[in-house]
Amino acid sequence: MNLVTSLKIADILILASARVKSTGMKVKSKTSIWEYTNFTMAAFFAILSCAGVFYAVQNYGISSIMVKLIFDQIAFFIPVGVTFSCIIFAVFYEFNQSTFNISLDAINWLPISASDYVLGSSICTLYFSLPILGLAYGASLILALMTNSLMVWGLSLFLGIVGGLIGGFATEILRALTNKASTTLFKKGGRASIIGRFILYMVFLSAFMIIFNSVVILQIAEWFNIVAGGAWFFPLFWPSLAVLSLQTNDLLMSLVYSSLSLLLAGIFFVTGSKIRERNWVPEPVSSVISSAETLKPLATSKGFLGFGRVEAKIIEKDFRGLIRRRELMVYLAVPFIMIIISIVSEGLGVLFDPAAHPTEKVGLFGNFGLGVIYLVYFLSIISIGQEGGAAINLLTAPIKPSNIARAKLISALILPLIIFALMILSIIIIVKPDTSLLMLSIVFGLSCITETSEVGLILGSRFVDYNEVPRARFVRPEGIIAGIIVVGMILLSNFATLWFAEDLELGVVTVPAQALMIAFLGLILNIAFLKILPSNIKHGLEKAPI
Amino acid sequence: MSEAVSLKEVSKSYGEIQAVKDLNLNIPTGIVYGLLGPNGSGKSTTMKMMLSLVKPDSGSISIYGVDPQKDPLAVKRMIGYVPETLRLYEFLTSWEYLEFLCVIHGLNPSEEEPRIKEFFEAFELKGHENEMMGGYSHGMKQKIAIISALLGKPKLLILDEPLSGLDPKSAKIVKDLLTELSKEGVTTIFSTHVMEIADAICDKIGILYNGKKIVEATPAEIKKMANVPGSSLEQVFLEITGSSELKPIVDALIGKSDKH
Ligand SMILES: Nc1ncnc2c1ncn2[C@@H]1O[C@H](COP(=O)(O)OP(=O)(O)OP(=O)(O)O)[C@@H](O)[C@H]1O
Ligand SMILES: [Mg+2]
Repeated sequence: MNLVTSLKIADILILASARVKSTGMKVKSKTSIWEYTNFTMAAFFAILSCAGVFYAVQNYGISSIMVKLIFDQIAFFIPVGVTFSCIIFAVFYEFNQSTFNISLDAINWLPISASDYVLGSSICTLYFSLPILGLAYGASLILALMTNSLMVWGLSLFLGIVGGLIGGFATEILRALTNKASTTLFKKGGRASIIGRFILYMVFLSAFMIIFNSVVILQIAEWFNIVAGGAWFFPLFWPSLAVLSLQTNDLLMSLVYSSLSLLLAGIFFVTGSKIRERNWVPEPVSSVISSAETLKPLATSKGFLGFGRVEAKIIEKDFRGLIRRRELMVYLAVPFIMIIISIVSEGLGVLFDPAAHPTEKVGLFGNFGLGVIYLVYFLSIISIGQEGGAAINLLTAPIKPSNIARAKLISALILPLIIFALMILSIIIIVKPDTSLLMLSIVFGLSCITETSEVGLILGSRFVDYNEVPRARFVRPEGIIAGIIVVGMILLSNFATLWFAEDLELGVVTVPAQALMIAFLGLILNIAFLKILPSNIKHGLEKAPI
Repeated sequence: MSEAVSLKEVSKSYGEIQAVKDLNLNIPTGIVYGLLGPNGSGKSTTMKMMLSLVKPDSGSISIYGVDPQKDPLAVKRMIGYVPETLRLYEFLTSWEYLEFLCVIHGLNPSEEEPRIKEFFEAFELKGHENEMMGGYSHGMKQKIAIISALLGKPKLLILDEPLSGLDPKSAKIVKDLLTELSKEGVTTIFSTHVMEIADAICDKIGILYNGKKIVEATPAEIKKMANVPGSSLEQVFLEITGSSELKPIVDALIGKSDKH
């Protein structure tokens, strides 16, 4: 292992994506420290949260006991929180490596040792979580100063970084394992193997995200009647337990857990390097579909569902991509993971509780609905960027942006709408709500789903990232964050109409009025978004690499 | 002369498609070896197997005595590679990229600077060092790829259509460079579709067809194989890959486009 090489690799991975901006190719003077914007952002967030917390404590008369309590909780949660957020981030953002052309990325043929790469890549992951770290550490620093617990804060900072690296290493293990799986299992090609690979990846990703999900872990701990402090049986909690021990002045245990955490990081690192060494590149997927099953076009010459031929072709292409491109599969896996996690954490008991009000039962489906929103959000926000180097085809094809917009909307909507329909069906079967509540659910769901798809497409075009090496990301991080904020606002404004309902507590919703309000809001938003969509798509496509 | 590269009965298939079939290659150290063949004949696949990017189904490969599957890192250290599809890191400047490669190859970037400058001078890239590579023309990117391959002073160069997109002057420089390097003992394997280039610089040529090696000889020997004496390499190539009778094909193509 060579730290200089690892840092250089991290540097290249960071710069190659941090520079993706709308301004196009510029002449650069020498790289300056200001290009590493996440350091500045982290510092900014740290100061902001520091000041914010200070102001809040001063002005809202929060007692010192309370301050201590809050600090203890934050300091405990940081290491484990950083680990999990690094994993989530990495799976979403760092995992996206195109399998189709392994000779695209110089990393694969340069003499880079597996361990240098694993460390470099994990440092890069950590770098991208810096702003969140800044927020957490800023807030906790001021609390630490107030409660005189700088030691605890320092340990929490250090172990947070260790936790982040563990998260990065874990992702490398997952990446290498999927490389291995696709090499060993799916040599033959053909439709069966494409589908097999798809299912395997989904299972892999879901299992991974669930294993590394804190909600699930804590839930399991609860099932086993273990308090958080006793979560020693789950190694990813060790860094946090080290902090907890120091808080309770148990220096010995703190030392033990700290050492265990470092050991754990070491084990993850060695495992990641070893697995990667043996499975450096995914075998190029055999893109051959056996001659017996030649492509049967979904789209006929007349088009599809009343759409023109070209639009239908785009939709068809997008669908094939979803099950064939590994870098896209993660976006399909997430909603299912969310549904599973919400089932694990909330249970399904309320559904079969005769005393529970229908609204409550339908509300439970809201959790699943959030999964659908995630799905439609990600499918639409990556929709333009996933064209990658081929985007030029859309730009030069004789199609109007409004037709591309339609096709892209449909391909982002079909799957979520099918799932939504199934959800409504299960609501009807399980909850048996009255017509008005059912109507409200449908209008609410449709409204949120369509609006989200439009926002996703708009921001996905605005913040498009066509780069395919070193990572295929499809959209810049600012875009994802902006989108989450906008979609959050949309969901809230849809919810806001519910607040006007009388006696919501009792579940007596004045439904027709409710549904009308949502429908009206949805109509306005949909029209507005659809209006600005084509020009945004055009703008995004014009940035296509030529 | 010792062997730089040797392939024994190497096969690789993708599903039903046999990309490479029972291929035997013995490439001595220090020669320029031209890998020719029609599209889809298995040239790139063969090269990727040498680099450990693709795992052969059967057979064995040795690069200076090392098996790429057993010790990929050692093999990668010996090889400079130009891939057929170029995808440079668009948002890095070429200088940043080459500096990165220096670190990877364990070289000191500031010590290598004069050498890189010479490359830039020769390829008329001067003044573009601090531009992001995404803004480069196709030929400029190709030049960077060639410089990258040479930077680590490799013993073996694997160049997949390295001259595509290069202007005549730069192409000439690369050709001269390969001849020079060969004198210093560097082995080069390269693929091309331009027969004159192969004729001019190759010590030996192997022609692949449907994943099989059908001919291996020096350019002069290959030219003698023609039915008509005094044929060019291109004519012989078309003859042995069974595509010399092109007139009916061309006619059919024109006839087809006439109807539209
Ligand atoms: N990932 C893959 N999946 C399926 N088939 C592949 C894959 N990669 C290569 N092939 C097939 O292997 C065969 C050999 O391809 P290869 O790229 O080696 O040809 P080539 O000689 O380099 O052609 P060209 O002159 O066009 O570059 C082709 O038939 C190709 O279709
Ligand atoms: Mg090729």
